[in-house]
Amino acid sequence: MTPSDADALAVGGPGRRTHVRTLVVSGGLALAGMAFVVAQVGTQMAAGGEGPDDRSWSELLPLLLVVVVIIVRPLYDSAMWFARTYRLAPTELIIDEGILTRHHRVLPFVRVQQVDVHQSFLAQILNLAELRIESAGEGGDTMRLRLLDRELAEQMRRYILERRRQLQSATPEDPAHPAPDPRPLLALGTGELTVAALTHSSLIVGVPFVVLAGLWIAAAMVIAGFDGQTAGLAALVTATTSVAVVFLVGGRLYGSVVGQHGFTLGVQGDDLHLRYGLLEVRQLTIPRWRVQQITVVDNPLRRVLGIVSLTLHSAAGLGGGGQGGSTRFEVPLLPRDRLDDFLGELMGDAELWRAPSLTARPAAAHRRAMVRRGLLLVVAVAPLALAFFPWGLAALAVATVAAPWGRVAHRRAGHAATATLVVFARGVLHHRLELVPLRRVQSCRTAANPLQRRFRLATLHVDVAGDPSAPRLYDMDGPTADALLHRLPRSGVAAGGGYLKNHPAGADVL
Amino acid sequence: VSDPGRAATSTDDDPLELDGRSHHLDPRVRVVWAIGSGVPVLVAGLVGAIVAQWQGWTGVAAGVAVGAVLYVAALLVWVRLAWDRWTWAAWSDALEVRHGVITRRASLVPYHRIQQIDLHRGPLERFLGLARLVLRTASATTDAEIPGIPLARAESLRPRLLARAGVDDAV
Repeated sequence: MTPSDADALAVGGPGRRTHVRTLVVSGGLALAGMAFVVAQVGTQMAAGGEGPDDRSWSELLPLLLVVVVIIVRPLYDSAMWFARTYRLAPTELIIDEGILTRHHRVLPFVRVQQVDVHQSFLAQILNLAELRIESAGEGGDTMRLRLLDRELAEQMRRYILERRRQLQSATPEDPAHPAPDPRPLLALGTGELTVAALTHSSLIVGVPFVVLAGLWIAAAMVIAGFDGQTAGLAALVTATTSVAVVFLVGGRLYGSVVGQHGFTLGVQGDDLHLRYGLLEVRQLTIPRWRVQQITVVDNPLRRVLGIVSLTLHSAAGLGGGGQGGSTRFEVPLLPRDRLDDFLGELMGDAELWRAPSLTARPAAAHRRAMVRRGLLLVVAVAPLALAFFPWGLAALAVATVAAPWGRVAHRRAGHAATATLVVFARGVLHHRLELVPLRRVQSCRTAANPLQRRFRLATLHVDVAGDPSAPRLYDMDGPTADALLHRLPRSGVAAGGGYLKNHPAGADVL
Repeated sequence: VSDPGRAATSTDDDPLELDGRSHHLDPRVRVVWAIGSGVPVLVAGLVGAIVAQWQGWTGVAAGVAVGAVLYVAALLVWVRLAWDRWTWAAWSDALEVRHGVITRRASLVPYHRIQQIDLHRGPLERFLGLARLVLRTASATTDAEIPGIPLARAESLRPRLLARAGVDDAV
């Protein structure tokens, strides 16, 4: 935050409107709609050699309605834009809006949880950006200023975060101190993002699945008696499978190389700063104390290459502020040997986030891991076996893969629960190591189906805020799962509490 | 570690203490479950049988009628088993819920994580003097619902849990 920033923001000044080019966005869509309608009418006239007057009004009525909407909508948007003003005060952001009903909204900076700058492709062309501010209000209230000059949006973001920091630290126990400089932690180039895309678990699982599905469809067609057209079918299935594989790989490359272009991650004080995107640029600020869990993901290929990816699960996100509109934020690539140090730097507490050695699941879980995978493989190849009976029965031999697959799955699964952290590990092709501080645990659940009960096994789920996919471990030892069910949720307070005890402003933010 | 299996089971109307004793649901909740799940299927079966009979498909009508009767019989068994398995215990610091016929589920929610406590009463529950107590935390996956609790008990329990709620929501 520099003096020139404060001048440009006109803190304490009169209300200002968002950038006038905002209207170009809605007007542009209206113009596109108008062009479509004109083209439609023109096409009809050219085809029939008749003017609109010769047609019945009932045929033209829908088009006329579209024209009215296209004209009225930009007028409405313009009026709304004119009626909406914002102003920055030293302690709050104030927005006045509404034409008939006026709304006066005040967002105290001390309640701000997250401030993001978002640039769509069209906004980038116009050098504009949307500012999204999430507060700790009821239901996680979000204010949006769309669209501002890009530089102004970034200045506002810096100003709001700096003011929040100053206001929250202005307590007798924690006197104000100068804001630390942003510290870069990780920057990924195009080459690294390409590696992240090509080694992504979705390809490791998805490509074999698509190929197998192609074989399955071909077998189903043979069973159905299309053997007279075998050559044509083979070509069709091969082409479809190839397109699906190209689509999978291309989609993943696009999502990684374009969607996460220029990925940078840094730390400033207690905030994590993320920036990524080529067509849509996103600048996110995630307070560390909002991170509920961290998942370390790898797969067999990434293990060979010694790389992992991380997913940070935040308690809440802005609509579209998190990647994929969720509350997850991904670090696409990280050398495995840097993991412990990186987690310490990222979260500012190396000891809390260091994963302890894991306790293995019981032997019965090993057997179940092999049997489940064996059944899955048998079901997957059954159509081939039937289609090419009796020689096709040889395909069932693939079920023997279940033994090593299940063994690896068993070896890589486990749990650990220290005084401050609970850790689950599971999966082979998409291996997850889930780290949840006990102070983030909201509640716990166990579930045991009849087969699990027979072998005294159970699944343990740990509920945390924000993410609907709770961390879990299948086929734990049943009594251990029941003991953890009672221990983990109760340990939260002893482990340092959560929101109130971690937030610099304490109960005031609520 | 507390073991609810060692706790005494109670279905009486004693003043509720937060002592971890295991409670069954009120037996009248079986009526709610049976009617709620059975009546729509019975009505659909009856309509189906009448239409089939009217069309002259006697076999279909008989099949639908037999199917509906079998469903209701299975439902009654299921309701009984579900009630047997449904228990809850209010500890001094957390609520524990256990339920499930095929897959047995257990859940523990500390009071200090509670953000909201809802009391739901459908028409049938109102008629029977029952209520459904739902505890909400910052997690959408928390499973903490007690159906079929007598209204008076729910109303006495709610303020006591609320007094312990929201100390720390951990988000």
